[in-house]
Amino acid sequence: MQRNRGTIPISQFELSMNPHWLLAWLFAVTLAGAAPQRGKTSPQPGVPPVTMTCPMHPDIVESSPGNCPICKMSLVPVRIETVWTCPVHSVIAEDRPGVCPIDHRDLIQMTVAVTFTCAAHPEINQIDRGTCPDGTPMVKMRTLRAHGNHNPQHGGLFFMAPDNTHHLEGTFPRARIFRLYLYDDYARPLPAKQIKDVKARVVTKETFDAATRTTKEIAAFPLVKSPSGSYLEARVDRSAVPAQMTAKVQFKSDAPEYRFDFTFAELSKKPTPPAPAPPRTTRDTSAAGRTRAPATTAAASPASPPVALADPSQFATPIPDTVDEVLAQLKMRSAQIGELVQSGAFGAIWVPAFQAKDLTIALETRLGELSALRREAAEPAIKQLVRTAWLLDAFGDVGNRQQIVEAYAIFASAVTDVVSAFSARP
Amino acid sequence: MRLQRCVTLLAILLVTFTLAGRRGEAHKPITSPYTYNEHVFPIVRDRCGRCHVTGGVAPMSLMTYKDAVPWGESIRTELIAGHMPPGGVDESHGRFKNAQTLSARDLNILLTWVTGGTPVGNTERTPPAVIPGSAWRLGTPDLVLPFPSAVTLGADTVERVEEFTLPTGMTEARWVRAVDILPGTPAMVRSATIAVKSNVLPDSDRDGTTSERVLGLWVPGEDPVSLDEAGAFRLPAGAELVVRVHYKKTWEYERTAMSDRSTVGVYFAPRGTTELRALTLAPAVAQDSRVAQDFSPALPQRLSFSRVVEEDLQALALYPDAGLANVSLRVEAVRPDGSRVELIRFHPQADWARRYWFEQPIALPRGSRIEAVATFDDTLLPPGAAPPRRADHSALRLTLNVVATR
Repeated sequence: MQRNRGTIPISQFELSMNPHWLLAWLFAVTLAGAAPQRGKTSPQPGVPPVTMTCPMHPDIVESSPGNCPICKMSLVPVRIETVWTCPVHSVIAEDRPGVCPIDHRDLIQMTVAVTFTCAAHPEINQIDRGTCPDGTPMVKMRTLRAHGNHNPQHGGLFFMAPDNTHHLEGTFPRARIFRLYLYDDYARPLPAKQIKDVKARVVTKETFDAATRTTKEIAAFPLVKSPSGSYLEARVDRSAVPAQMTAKVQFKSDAPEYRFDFTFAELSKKPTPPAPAPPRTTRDTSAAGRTRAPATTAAASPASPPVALADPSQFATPIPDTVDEVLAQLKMRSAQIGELVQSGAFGAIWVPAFQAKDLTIALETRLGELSALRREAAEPAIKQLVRTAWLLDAFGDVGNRQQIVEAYAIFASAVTDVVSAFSARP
Repeated sequence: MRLQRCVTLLAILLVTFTLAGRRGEAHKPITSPYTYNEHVFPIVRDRCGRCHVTGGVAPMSLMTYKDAVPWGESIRTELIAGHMPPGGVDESHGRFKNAQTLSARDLNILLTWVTGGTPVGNTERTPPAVIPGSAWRLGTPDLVLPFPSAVTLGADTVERVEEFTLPTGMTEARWVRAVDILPGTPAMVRSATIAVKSNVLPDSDRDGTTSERVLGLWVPGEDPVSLDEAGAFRLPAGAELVVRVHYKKTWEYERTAMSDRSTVGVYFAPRGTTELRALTLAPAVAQDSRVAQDFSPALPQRLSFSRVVEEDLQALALYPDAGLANVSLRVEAVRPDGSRVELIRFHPQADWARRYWFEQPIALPRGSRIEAVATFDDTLLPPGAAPPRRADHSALRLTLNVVATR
């Protein structure tokens, strides 16, 4: 899923400098030029109207040109359409609910961008219908829009539901109060009509039986709609921080129940509004949280504002020259993930996880230096590590502690195997 | 360090200005340094192109940029879940001749590309069209046996299992090193089992092994393993082959009538080799209600079963009965001297029943105990991945077959 990440302070993860990543980043930026070209933006029959969005913050949608209220970049035109599609097969786009013809799961609503392309020239991707170089008319193409950014809007902790559609944010604004804000696939507040169907509770104490894999709730509190209807709230038995709470949410009566594990290192503070008011936003502008890059998790200290803000996925991880240094960094990243798992800062796990995977891929090129026996051990461990790094990234978004703990156990075991295969003989 | 931070800030400012300067060009961030034309295509062509090609058995082609892009999210979940490439074997616990895997680097390139904006790359390097292969993968077979008739799935039929009996017409016994199938219409031949008809080979010996009758478990995209001097299948004179084929249309062709007439190819081994034997291993309660019920938290999550080997064997391969899925299996052997050897850890996928050939034969001296542990439904699936299908009760058969020589 193309999505924007919560913003992470660079200094937190010690991205040491290397001119190579700068080149890599500039390369990526150059490639971004392959995205749709701006054309005329006249109304066209059967085509959604043009709105303006931010290239980096797709949840910003405005009716006229201007600058992004978050990053100040110039807004770009986009045609947005809501279609019914398969949870993972975006090739299916229907205009009404139904069943996916591929895997027979229920279709879900998704936001897509409509552009036009040519069969013989896939590089053509423009916002207005036109004629291809060979004289044929351009064909309509739907691209899944980036998920709304994963930054919390009320100073809380933000997760995506495993249905890949809904998002939610839990806050612990004061003692004994837990709030849950619900969003759609685009990180827009969920319409009241849909909130009505949501069944949710918050659990502050439960036990888990590993043998039967069953959970027994000891203290659970119903989440009920707030008077304004904009969030769900429960009175809980927690007043001190750190506090662990689990929201169990069913978005529709026939949908599965999902769990979201929140760890509040401190009480949630509503972010301060931005200095310049966002102009002409077509959405509820009270959701001012996105206009400031908030701490990704409660575990990140909001007291020390980050030095620089960026999306670390755009940095190539610097790879040390010696195997020993790579292994030392790998162990450090794994330990960092362990701490993030421990502290419940799930939304930040992907940063050290991706750094660890990049370090490990660098080791793959040195498999030839190992004895056959060690190579046999290292090769599958490297693959396992890379796959589970991506799994941790995916689980970090949805915030289910049990899944994250299990994935981290596999990851950490792969790290141990890689380190032992590459370590010098005693 | 301070200099480094300055460089960081400078770089961020530079890129921010660069992006801001390209007013109105991008509508979504492209963060993948890997592009389809330069990096992704060579991987999907070599690793996925047998099936994911126009006319192939997979429900989508990945052989052009335009074909691949809409499947980005699906590619992501299948790769992270470990469902593709299919195989389901844990390579950390055994080496296999026919493991289908991606290297860590290739896996990372594909995942980075699908999550990073799926850039096309240099359009002057648009790859040439990929034509599905239609040749025997082990060369021309020694014996070619076409299916007796064509099979047609009408516009109202999505899948069907067909069984054919193919007389070999052989007047003398032969040894077989491999069998293969050349599909007539690759898009509908989903899997097949090729076996020697049971009335021509003797039943179980005193020691509990039988002649291995299953010559091949065919799945698309997998090269058949050609056996070396370690052993071969025995094909008696006058033998008939029973071929059981699972025909299944992909979603695109669901409402289209399709026909197939495939061909079985048999490859003979030199004379005087060692016969492959089969040893089955199943829980005493394999068909018991504890297993053959739908999964629920109250049911046991693990089931162990074992069998003692009653003669000296060299294990060459292992396979589950077709239809087994949603279960993780771990098979080990404890030898009479107390040493323990791991045979395999795998997670069979529905529709992908295959035989796992060990890279090297594994010695199982008389008195060894083969131990299997089945754990139900314990895989970690990424969000968005389809939940495991509830197994058909009758299909949930926990029978493992060890292929060995004496």
